[in-house]
Amino acid sequence: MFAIETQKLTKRFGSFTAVNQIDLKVQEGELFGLLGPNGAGKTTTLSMLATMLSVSKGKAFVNGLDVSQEPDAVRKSIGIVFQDPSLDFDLTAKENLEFHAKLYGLPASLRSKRILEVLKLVELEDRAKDLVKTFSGGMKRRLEIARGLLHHPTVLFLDEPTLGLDPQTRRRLWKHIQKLNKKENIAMILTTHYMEEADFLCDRIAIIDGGNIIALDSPTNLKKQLKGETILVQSNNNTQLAQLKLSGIFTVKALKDAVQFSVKDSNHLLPQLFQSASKQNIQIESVSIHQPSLEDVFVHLTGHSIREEVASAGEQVKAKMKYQGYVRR
Amino acid sequence: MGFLAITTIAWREILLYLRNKGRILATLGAPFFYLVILGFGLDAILPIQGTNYFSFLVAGIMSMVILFHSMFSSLSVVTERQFGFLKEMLVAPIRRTDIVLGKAIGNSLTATAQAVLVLGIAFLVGFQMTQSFLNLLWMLPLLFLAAIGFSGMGLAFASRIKDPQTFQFLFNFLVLPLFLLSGAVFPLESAPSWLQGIVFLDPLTYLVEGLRALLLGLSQIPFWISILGIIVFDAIMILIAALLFRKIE
Repeated sequence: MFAIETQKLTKRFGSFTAVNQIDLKVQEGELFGLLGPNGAGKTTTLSMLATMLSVSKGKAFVNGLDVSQEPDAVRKSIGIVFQDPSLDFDLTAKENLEFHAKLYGLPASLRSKRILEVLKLVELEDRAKDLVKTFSGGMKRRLEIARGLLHHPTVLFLDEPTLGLDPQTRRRLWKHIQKLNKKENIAMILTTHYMEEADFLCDRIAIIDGGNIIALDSPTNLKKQLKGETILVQSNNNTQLAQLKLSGIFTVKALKDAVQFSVKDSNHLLPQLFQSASKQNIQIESVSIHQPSLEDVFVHLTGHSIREEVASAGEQVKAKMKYQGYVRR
Repeated sequence: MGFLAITTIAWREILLYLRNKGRILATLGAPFFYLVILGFGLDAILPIQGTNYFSFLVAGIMSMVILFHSMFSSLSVVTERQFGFLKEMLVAPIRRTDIVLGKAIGNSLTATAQAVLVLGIAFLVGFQMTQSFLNLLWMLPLLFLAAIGFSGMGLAFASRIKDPQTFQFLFNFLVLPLFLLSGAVFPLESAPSWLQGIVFLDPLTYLVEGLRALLLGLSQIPFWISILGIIVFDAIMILIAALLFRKIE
C-alpha cells in the first residue's frame, strides 16, 4: 500500500484549474517534496489530500482510504502542520498538546507519556509549561510539528514548514524533520518553494508548475538531467547571445535578464563564447558558472525561474480558495 | 469521542477565562457602574411596584452580563480564525456540532460565573433578596440555559463573520436592542402596548423575568414559561449554529 496515491487528481476554482490531473505515489516512510513557485498548486494539492478541500475530479487515497469517501478515517491517520501558525498562544505548550490529544481520542493512559515523548523529539521538554506566546518562530514551528505527530499518524503533511524562518533556524528544523522521519517511521509530504530545502530533505521531489507535475524523481536524478555545468551570462543583447552556435553547448535558454547555457566543459567553452560574442558586438557583462542545482532543473523544465513568480498567481489561488470556501462534508 | 471533544473544547474556554483575570475585572466594570449609578441614581424618582428601582435593576444587569458575555466570548471564533487556531479544531476528527456544543457550554459556564459575581457585587452594595436563598440554586441553571442560547447566537454569527470590525455593528443593532427591549431596565407594564409585543419576542425577557421571580418574587410571566421560552430559544440557536458550523471552510 502507498502512503499517498492520486489518480488524475484535479481541483478547479470556477474556470481556473489550480491542480491539473496529478498522478502521485508516495511510499510508506518516504520524505516526499512538492516543489514549485507560489501559486503552482502545492498547497491546493495538500489541502485535498488532507480532506480540507473537496476534490473536483480524479481520486486521492491516503493510506488506501479515499479522501472523498472516508474523510474522518483519513483525518485520524494524518498529521498536518499548516503554513500559518495554528497554535493557541494563550495556552502552554503542554496544554496545546493535551487539547490535540483529546480531540484525536488518544487514550488517557497514553496521553502524558506521548506528550512528553513528542516534546523531547523537538527538544521543547523544558518549555512544556510556558505559554506559547513566549516562543520564538522556530520553537512554535517545532511545537506544531510535535503536535502533528502526537496521535501517531502514518502520514505527516508539512505546508512550507520553514517559511519565514531565518536560515539558521531553518537548518535546525531540517535536521529535526529528517530525524523524525526516521525515528517515527512516518511518510512526510512537504511543500516548499525553497530549492535547497527540497534538495536537502527529500527522498523524491515532484516539481509542480501551473498545476501540473513537470518532473518527479530524486534530487540527484533530477540534477543529472542537466549534463555538465551551467553558465549564466548577462550581456547587452541577450537575444542575439542565445543564438550563438558553438560546439559543446547542450542547451540554451533565454531567461528574463540572462542566458543559461548548459555545457560540457566551461573551461574550454568560455574563451570561445567571448570571442564569438565580441565578433557580433555583444558585450558580456557578467558570467557565472555552477554545478547544476535544482533551480537550474526548474529553469530548464519551465523556462522561468522559481523566484520570478507570475506576479499574482499565488494570490489568485488564495483569493479563490477564500471565495469558494474549503467546502467539505 | 464526542463527549471528550465537547468537554475538551469547553475546558479550554474556561481555562482562558480563568487565566485572564484582567478581563474578568474589566468586564465587571460596566455592570458595576450600571448597578450603582443607574440603580441608586434613579431609585428615588422611579417607583417600582413591590420593590425599589435598585433591586429591580439587579436581575436586569445580571441578564445583561449573560447576554454580553455569551455573545462576545462566542465571537472569539472570529479571532481564532484570524490567528489560525480554528483550523486545529476544524481538521480534527470530531463533529462540527461538538465544537459548537463545547464552545457554548464553556462560554455559558463562564457567563454564569460572571453573572454570579455581579450578584455578589449587588449584595455588597446593599441588595436584599425577598425570596428564599434556596432560589439561588435554581438561578444557576436558569443563567446557564439562557447563556447557551446567546452563545449559540454568537457562534452562528461568528461562523459567518470574517472581520472583527463587524462586532461594533452587531453590538449596536443586535445586542443593545436585545438588552433594552428585555425589560432589564424598565418594568414591562410601563411599556406602550406596541412595544409589549416586541418585548416578548426578545429571548432575554424570559431570563430577566425568571430571575426577578427567583430573587424578588415579581414577574409578569410564570416561571415555567420563562424556562420553556429559554429552552426553545436554546434549541433553535444551537441548531442554527451547528448547521452553519458544518459549512465553515
